[in-house]
Amino acid sequence: MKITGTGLVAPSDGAPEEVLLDGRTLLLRRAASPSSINARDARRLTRPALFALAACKEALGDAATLEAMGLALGSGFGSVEATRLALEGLLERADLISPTSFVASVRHDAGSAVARALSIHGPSAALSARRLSFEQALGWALIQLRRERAPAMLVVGADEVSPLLARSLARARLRSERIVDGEGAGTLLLERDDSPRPALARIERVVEGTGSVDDLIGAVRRELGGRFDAVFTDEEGSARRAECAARVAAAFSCEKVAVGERTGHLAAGGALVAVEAVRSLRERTLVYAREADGAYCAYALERP
Amino acid sequence: MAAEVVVTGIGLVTSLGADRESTWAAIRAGCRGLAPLSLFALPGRPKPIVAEVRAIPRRKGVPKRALQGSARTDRLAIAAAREAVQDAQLDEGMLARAAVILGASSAGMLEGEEYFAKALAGSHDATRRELLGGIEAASSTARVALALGALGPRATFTTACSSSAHAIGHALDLLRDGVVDVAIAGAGDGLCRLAVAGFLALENVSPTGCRPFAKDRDGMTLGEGAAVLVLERADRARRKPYARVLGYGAACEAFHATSTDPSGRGAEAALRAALRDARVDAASIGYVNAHAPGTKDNDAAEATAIARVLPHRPPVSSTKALHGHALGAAGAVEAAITCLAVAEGFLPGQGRTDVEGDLDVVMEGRSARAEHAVSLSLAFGGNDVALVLGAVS
Repeated sequence: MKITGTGLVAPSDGAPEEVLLDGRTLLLRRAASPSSINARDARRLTRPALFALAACKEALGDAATLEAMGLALGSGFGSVEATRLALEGLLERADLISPTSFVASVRHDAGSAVARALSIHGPSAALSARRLSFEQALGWALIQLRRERAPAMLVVGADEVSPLLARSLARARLRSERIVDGEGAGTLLLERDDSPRPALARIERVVEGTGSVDDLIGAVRRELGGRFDAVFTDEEGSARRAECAARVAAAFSCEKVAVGERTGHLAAGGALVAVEAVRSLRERTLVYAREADGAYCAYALERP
Repeated sequence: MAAEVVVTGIGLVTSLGADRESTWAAIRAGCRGLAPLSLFALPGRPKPIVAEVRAIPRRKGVPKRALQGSARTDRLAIAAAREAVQDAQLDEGMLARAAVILGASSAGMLEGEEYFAKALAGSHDATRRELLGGIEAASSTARVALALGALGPRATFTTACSSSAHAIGHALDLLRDGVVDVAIAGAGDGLCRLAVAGFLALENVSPTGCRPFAKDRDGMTLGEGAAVLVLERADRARRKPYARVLGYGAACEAFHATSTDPSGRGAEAALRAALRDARVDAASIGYVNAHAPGTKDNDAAEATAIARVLPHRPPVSSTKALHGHALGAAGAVEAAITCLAVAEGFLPGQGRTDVEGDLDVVMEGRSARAEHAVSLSLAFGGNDVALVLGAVS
């Protein structure tokens, strides 16, 4: 399959923002409101939806939206802030919940908002798998194309920062306080080979499984071949993750690019990695992501 | 040629029964599992009629760590999954290779609500891991995989009411592509304050219990439950399958955040896509388990779509009248019921009602063989899914 467009809403560069909450300092990388979305729409949309729409518009560029185009969204949490808003009223009195915030709290809200804004009527789904959310959405989208259910698929990963959740995760020691939370979205426009538009890169399938780093390396060799000139990943934030990334790069004797160090941690961060990998494509790039419990996804990007 | 995919195991936990057998017996008898909400209080609101699971069964063979700190939704999903794999007679080796593909909507929000209440109050108690896990959609999938010892690919679909229909469809694709030879697919979804209060705020809930397709329908009945199917390649099945899984189709209405496109265009596109995928003739469809939650706009749009694609007027019923709307688990619960319907040659009824329009709505359950059947799932945001199932010859 061809990748014919990319879109990105990346967190801000420079030093992370410091937010003081309940005596703790949280490090965040927020994304600026995208200029491609008008102010009225920006006010109506949740932040994941806003980021997703901007990234999809950029990926489409001057390509017309095809009626039968499909959409796959990967998001770790949907809009945590919309859920917080919905619950703030509800926890006081059940009749105080606002219908708008309830609807916005639905986990696939960003995907529905993009589909409405761009009139996408093909197969549409949202997937959530912690930091594999985007990769799983990508795998599902490739199947839709392969089975000729859609001529093109927009695959978008989007998440927002939630200081409240970040504070709780750090307090619960579920992750290091040094981790910088990020937000944003990344989109790939995938098309079947019969599309007349030029390809930026080629991709065939996403390999998925559960196991050790060696299992991941073995699955990549078996399913994707063993020759790569770069490995892209969002593995960052701990020595263990960095070591894993180094082992994967060493196994294929190629350069490692850890995108997460620049974007901050977000569940759908794989989307940002994918866009960066396409935009700085070598001959054959391996992209992978792993979860703490050993679940992994990997795919190869090839120069057309 | 793609491998034929069959359903060899079914696990069910609904307001009608704690397992497949009791749920199906209640459906055959036309029982309704609806009652006033008792699971939690909703200050400021009268208690709505819901379909609540009274006691979540604890199945044998589930490791303690899979249940430790689990959410209500996780326990529902684990109970159904365990029943399904026992039913399919899967051994440890097959389970180790299995994919686990689930849907989620409310997921662990009941516990998530406790998290938000404590977190917003600045309480350190908000950092309890079981509360944090509750707000994550993929939590049940990870726990079911842990409970079963399944190490294959995992995925969690989050398109609200069509989530678990997507999960079954994706499992079908993974089996047809040879990625796995066995897949555990479905969902659990538990009631929570956010969903109940949210739908009440949208004025979408029936005060007396839903009446799908009725002229005087006045809203849905929220429910909870779980259904898990074991999907396998037909040539690997160890027991006689319930049904064949033939086709999966999805479409997006791109119409409104909550309302169904009145033209029925989304449901029609999903249905046509599933029939195309299944390579079966529309005229061979002998039963439709409709999404029809009992709301004015959904049922009318869906009836329009069914009439347009299936003009031969196959029997249609919405079993939500009996087990309520299990949100993220609805697609799987109804697909499971459709499998049992084609396996047993019995079309479930939805109770006597004065039907609007021209559909052949099954009111009293009746014996009839359906060679092919459809399970339709429509969702918030217009994410519509259809599954085509077939009888095993």
